[in-house]
Amino acid sequence: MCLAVPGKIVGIEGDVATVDYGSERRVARIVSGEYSIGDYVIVSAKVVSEKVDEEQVKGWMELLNAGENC
Amino acid sequence: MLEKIVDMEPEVLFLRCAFPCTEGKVHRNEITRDDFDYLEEAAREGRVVKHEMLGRVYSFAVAEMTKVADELGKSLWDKAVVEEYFFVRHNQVIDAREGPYSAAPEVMCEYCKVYDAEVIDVGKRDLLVRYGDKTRHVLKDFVQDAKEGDRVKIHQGYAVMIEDGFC
Repeated sequence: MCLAVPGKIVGIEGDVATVDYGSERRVARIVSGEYSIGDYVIVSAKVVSEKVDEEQVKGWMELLNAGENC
Repeated sequence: MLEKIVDMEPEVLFLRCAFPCTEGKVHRNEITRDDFDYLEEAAREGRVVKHEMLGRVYSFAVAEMTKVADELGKSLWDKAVVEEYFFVRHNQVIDAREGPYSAAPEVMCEYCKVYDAEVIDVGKRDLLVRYGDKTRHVLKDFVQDAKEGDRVKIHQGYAVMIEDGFC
């Protein structure tokens, strides 16, 4: 099973977002779209790719932590 | 140097297609960050990884590929089996919400599918690609020679191969 990991934006400075993944934080560029602190997002190639609804994140993280394999 | 897809070892094509799933395995502590780095380097440099490790790390994909191999009457590590699984069956499994996908959120399923895409911009380390009416930035680690207008297969945050047969 394929599982990307959604993260939460905890900071935005210019076009750079800091994304929290629980165990670590990474930065990603915002090249298009409107994003705010608190948004859950997918980061693709160090670019914020898309926003994920918080309810979907919950289901996503349950699957991610359930030990299903790819 | 261009590397023909026809000359690429099945294990290399498999790893490039499967590698985008690897981050989740680190998150779940199934593999170490060192394992991740080893697999990433092997995928980028086109090195063959032992079947034992591929089967251990990507057990779901290998199990599904085993079914495909049986159906096609081919061996598991045959390139036709890898292509049939990742470029045809993989999305069908997701669309049918089979197995672990039964409870997966829609946005996750869409992100996890493999798409045919067109390169519309080339960056230093990434590509901007268009698939359907969407665009996505993907890493070009596995398709270093990709250029604007090329058709590529994308999986999550990676372009995994150029469709004209070169990568």
